[in-house]
Amino acid sequence: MANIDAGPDDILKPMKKTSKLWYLAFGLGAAIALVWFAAWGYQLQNGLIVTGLADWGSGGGVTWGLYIGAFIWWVGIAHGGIILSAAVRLFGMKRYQPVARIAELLTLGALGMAGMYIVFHTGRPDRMVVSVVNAYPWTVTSSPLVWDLTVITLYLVLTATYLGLTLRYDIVRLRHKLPDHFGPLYAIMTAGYTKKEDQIIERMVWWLALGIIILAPLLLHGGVIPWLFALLGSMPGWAGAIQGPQFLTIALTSAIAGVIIISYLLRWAYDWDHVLTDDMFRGLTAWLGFFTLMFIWLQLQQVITGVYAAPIDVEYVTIATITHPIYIMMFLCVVVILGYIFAQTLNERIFSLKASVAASVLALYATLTEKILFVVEGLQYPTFSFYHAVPGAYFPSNIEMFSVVATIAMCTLFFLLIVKVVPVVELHAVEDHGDHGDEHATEVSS
Amino acid sequence: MTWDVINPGVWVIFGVIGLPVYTVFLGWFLGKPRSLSTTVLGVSMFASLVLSLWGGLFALTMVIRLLFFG
Repeated sequence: MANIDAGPDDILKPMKKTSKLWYLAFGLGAAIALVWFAAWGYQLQNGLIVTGLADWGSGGGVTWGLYIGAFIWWVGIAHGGIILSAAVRLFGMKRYQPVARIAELLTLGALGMAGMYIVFHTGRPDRMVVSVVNAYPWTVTSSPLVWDLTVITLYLVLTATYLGLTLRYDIVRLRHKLPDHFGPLYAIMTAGYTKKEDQIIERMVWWLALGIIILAPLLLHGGVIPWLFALLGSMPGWAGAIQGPQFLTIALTSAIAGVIIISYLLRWAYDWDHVLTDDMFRGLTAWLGFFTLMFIWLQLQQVITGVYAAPIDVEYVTIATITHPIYIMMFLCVVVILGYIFAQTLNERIFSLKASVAASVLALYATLTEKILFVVEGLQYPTFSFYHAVPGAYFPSNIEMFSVVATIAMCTLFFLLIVKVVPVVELHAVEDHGDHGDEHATEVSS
Repeated sequence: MTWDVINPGVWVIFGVIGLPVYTVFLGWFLGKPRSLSTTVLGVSMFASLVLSLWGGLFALTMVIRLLFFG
């Protein structure tokens, strides 16, 4: 159990309290999402040409831009959530137990946004499922795109199964305190529950955690996602074995940043100072610093090998990248983040929640822009000058830039809704404090 | 070359990437304490989530076809 002084009623607060601010945030998020769907409809009607990504004949030969950069970014954010939760279960990192389910939900929300970006980027999304499913037996043998779809499906389903199994325990024990209007949903989620299953489910989610902690970092964000790029030898900005660990560190940086921001917002909205404690935020901030350091260390590896006696094509794309204002800005963000985290480690009084949240926002900005630059520069500087005569240079269109705002709004909507349906802090995290409804569980099981 | 006979996707997906998933299922079925009904619950949850994910995506793409490419 985590070292917090809270009871079951505390974790049910979001389900019982709906403030004006909640309605305001929901209204704003829904309005942004509606405007986005109108914009996407316009794109579907007129084709991807409205983004400038439709053809080799425009934008300097760039056909993958912000949409693919943002796809990688969202998968990265999705990454850390369940990893954090799995680490709590496998390595006994109880300090983070109160944030484990928030992190799992972030995985589902962010992975949903990543999936949407695949659909947004497809010129004819209506053909997507049919073509993937029909051709799967052949394409899976050689297409990294199909490997991606396979592993993302596995990751999403394993995470949702993990969440579904762990929620049974909480819902049965808290059912008498949960809103009645979701009764049918709770009945489905806890169908066939018996108290005897608790130990078995705990063992099953341990195995799930083990599977996820291997699959997600080593084979998804350090595997099939970077392989979309790293396997293309004709794109020196993309190719190379370092992309696996590089993608992974960026993913973990953005994921911890996402967890910090959402946890902070929940703590602020529901006065959860005693549930999501300063101590936990200090720990998350230290992890943010560690992953950011790994991220910039692997950048260093690429920069030094790219400028010191590198092949001409590699040197060309490396210089183009590191002199780009976006890259310089990303680097400055990382310096500020590491400066703050190092300073607060030396002097505890420098630590503040707001500063950690600001560092997290900077980390999300830095990782998003780095990913977009990575995608675009890789396409703009191939080994052979396929696109030598292609005019222009890529710059994200308004519709692409708005998609980032819209997906953030949609992920926020997901959280605003889910906090009303299930407890976002595990009952295990607060269980020794106050009544946890065990008697009720006995009634249900009998 | 081996690649002429077995494409990399075959061993990457079904050999390497499949391993953690096989491990989960083996752990569920062979580990202790266990009960067949709870294990079946987990497997059903897994299978129905795969179906609902791709089924839902299929339905969405068909709506897109109807609205924009009909």
